[in-house]
Amino acid sequence: MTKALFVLLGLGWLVFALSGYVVGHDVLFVNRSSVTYFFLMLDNGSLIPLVEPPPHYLVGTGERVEAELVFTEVGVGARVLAPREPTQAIPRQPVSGPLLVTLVAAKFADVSAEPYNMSYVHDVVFGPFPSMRHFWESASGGAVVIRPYYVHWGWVTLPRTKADYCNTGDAFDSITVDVINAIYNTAGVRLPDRSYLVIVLNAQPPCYSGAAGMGDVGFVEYAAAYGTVRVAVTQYYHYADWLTQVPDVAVFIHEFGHNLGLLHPGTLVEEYDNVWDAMGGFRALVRLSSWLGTTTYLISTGLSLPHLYYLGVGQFVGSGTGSWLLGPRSGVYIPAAPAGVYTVEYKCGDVYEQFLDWCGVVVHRVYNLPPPSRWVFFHTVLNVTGRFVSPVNFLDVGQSARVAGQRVSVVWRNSIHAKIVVGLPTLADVVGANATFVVGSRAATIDSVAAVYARTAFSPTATFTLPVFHYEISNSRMHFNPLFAYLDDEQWLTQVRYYVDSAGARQLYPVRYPGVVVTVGGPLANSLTRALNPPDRLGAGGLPFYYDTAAGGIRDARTGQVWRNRAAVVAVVPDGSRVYVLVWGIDGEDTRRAARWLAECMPPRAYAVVINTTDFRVLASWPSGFVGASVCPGAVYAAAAVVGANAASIDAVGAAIATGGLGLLDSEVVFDKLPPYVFSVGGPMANSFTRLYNPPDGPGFGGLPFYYSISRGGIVDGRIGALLCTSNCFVVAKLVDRGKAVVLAWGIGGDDTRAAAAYLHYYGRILLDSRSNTARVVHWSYLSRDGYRYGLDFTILATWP
Amino acid sequence: MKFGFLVLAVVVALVVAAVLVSAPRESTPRTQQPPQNNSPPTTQQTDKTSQQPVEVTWRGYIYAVVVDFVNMTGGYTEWFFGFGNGTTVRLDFADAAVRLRDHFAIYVGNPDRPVYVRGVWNGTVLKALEIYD
Repeated sequence: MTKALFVLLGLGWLVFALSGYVVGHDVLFVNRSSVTYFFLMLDNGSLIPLVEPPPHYLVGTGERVEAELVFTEVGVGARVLAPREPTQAIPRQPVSGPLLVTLVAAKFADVSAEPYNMSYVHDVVFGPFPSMRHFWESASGGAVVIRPYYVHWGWVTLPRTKADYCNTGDAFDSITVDVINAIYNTAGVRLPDRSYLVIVLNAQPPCYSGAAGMGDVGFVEYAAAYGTVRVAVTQYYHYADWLTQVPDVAVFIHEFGHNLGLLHPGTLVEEYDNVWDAMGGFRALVRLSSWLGTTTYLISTGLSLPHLYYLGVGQFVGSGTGSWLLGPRSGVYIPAAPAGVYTVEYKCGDVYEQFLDWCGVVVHRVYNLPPPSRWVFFHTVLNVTGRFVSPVNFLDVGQSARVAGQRVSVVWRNSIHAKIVVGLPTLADVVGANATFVVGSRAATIDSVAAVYARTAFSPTATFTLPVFHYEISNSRMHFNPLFAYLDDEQWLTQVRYYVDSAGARQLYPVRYPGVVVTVGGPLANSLTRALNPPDRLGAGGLPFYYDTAAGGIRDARTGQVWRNRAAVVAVVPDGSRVYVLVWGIDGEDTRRAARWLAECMPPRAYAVVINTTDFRVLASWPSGFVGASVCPGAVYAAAAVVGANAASIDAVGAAIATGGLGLLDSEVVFDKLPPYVFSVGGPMANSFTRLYNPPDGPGFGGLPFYYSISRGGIVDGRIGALLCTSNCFVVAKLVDRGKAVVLAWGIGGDDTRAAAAYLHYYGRILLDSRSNTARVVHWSYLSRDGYRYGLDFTILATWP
Repeated sequence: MKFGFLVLAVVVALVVAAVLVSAPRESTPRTQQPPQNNSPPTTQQTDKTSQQPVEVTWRGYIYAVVVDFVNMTGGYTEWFFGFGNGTTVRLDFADAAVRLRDHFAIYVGNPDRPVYVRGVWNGTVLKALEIYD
């Protein structure tokens, strides 16, 4: 009986799949031998010994793998499952190793101009960044090595005129054969089998009027004078005289991509519409250092994952539902019905991707249509569809879209990696996310200061945006000090994206408040919470916990149970194209405790929980199965934010910009118990802690000369008695008191105070690093264009000392 | 004994005939008998004007060249069929039945993956009806 049970359990283990990371450690013995142990590390840090060595390329890479539990005689272990391949939806034609490339500049018999010198031609093809060689070696991660086989130094004169070539019926073929014969006749060069030939021409043949370049797809046979040769050929036409000043490197990159077997990745409607891939039509105009000084180039902006996979250098770290870390040349795929796949990748940190205006997670639908259709297409996943809109159809942090019936949400990113969740994100998935914080404008301060705790569990959203005039100078990403904490009733700042439509007109696509939106405060205090989790009925996505106004507590719609005090809801709710985190309690203190639970405890893999705000016990979870004591490692708070108990909510939400940590009201401060950094947010009229250090109408702590003058209604510099400003300005100061850094951030109004906190976030490092007392008065304004606010601008008015 | 040998010879002849009839196309591509224009054309012949269309089956390679315009719109792909001896002809397979073992992409511009094309050759364009390994 026992044995049978054991077998059953073993079978159960066998079919139980896990996911985690492969790690290992070496044990070195005195006799210089060693043993390596490998483990599957789960998300919670648990280590399960692997029963067999994993593939070496998975060890310690941080790439998620799938594994199965196996029952062995010595206990339970895990076995790494081979990464699943994306079926046959994406063909593979790997390219690697040295590629021999011959370069020839050729001029037509009837055109004498030599528009480029050979250094130009050589550098565009073989030079350092940016060049055709550099792009393909970089994009392939070094798998491809482009070696110059022969560079014909000087222009070859072709035997025929432009028109004559067109009269042959196949100008491309005729030009190629003549070039092959010319370098054979003049230099004795025979092209190696399966090598590459780059031909730079000094004009366009009339039959290719308007063409920038042409490229063979793979190798083609040509009837040379010395026999048949199989080479992949590209031709570049001098389509405009300004090319002598502005090398169009992107065309060289693009045509060589055809040689490697790639076709255009755009949509069925517009096959060049893909800004994320060199095989699309987008070219970034950038000014770069060169051996000539500064040169403007047209360059490509990277290569997409389906193409990287096709070439054998891209890989998939997993597929389908799960939490995934996307990295360079690696992503995930989602099976599409009835056949094919979607690929999900992150575009940001590659040498060429850096010239994209935005970092974003891109989804491609890989079509598998009968030939001669192409095999990698871009599929729009946001709500902007149309021609040439690929630049706006990506997901930034906090954004979410449905792909093949599943949600894909981006919760975090840096310049190299992005974390995405396929399927509904859980609380465990969103911890650490790049976040934006929203509180009720008329909420009690204690509700709003909860955002300071929430900030500890998240990281501020950091994203690029554009002023609309950026189009003309698209050679760098722009970061305009965006806010990431808002009131529920204000017009939030906007990420401005642009695209160029088929008529060449610039179009705007604004996105509100990037980041996972953490909405703090209950449905009666915060209208955003109310919209997602209204009283007396189910919330967004079927969230079963809501405030029952008749019962005066939180109700679980599934069981009918009601908690009337010391309880709070913490939930993650995808809705529309956003991911929201709700943090709210029955009263303000419960809300603050709920945010503290996020900061100090490990949230379970549930979409929502009701917690006891006294002991942090999980009272109910959705889905069920997570009720019980919370796992709370705690938090070490290096900073605190203090706001006035009766201050406006915007002061408190500003505190969440200044810092994450302890969120305190001024009436609660016990100096000796404060952490090393104390941010006092709000002016002397609203915050008694600020008032202690910076009272109105006179110098402050340590001789701080900037103060609020009640009679003059503005900020005065006491050193000269001058009124510095009466609006749109603030004071930031660092004061050292009894070994703690007291950092003041206050403005004349609530918006000014929030701007002060933003200034500290973006430019406070110099202030905070100062070993002595220091302060600044700063004027600020919103950056806005066409009604969209996209950032903050600061001007220093006075400094102390 | 002689009679037995005759029977054996007949049986062998029948088996050989049956094998020849049922042989897969892959191993014995249909080679057309004259007219002469069923033979792979020379480069010079492809330059000539159209001739009377004939159905042919040729073994060779699929080639493509892409034309990209300056404004990156309206580009197009030209398709060719090559015989491996330097002779290429234009290929139209818009209406072809593609019966290849691997993804079509693997065959394009790949000297290691010849195909058979059954189609109609008019002296200028090979209009493919069927493409197979």
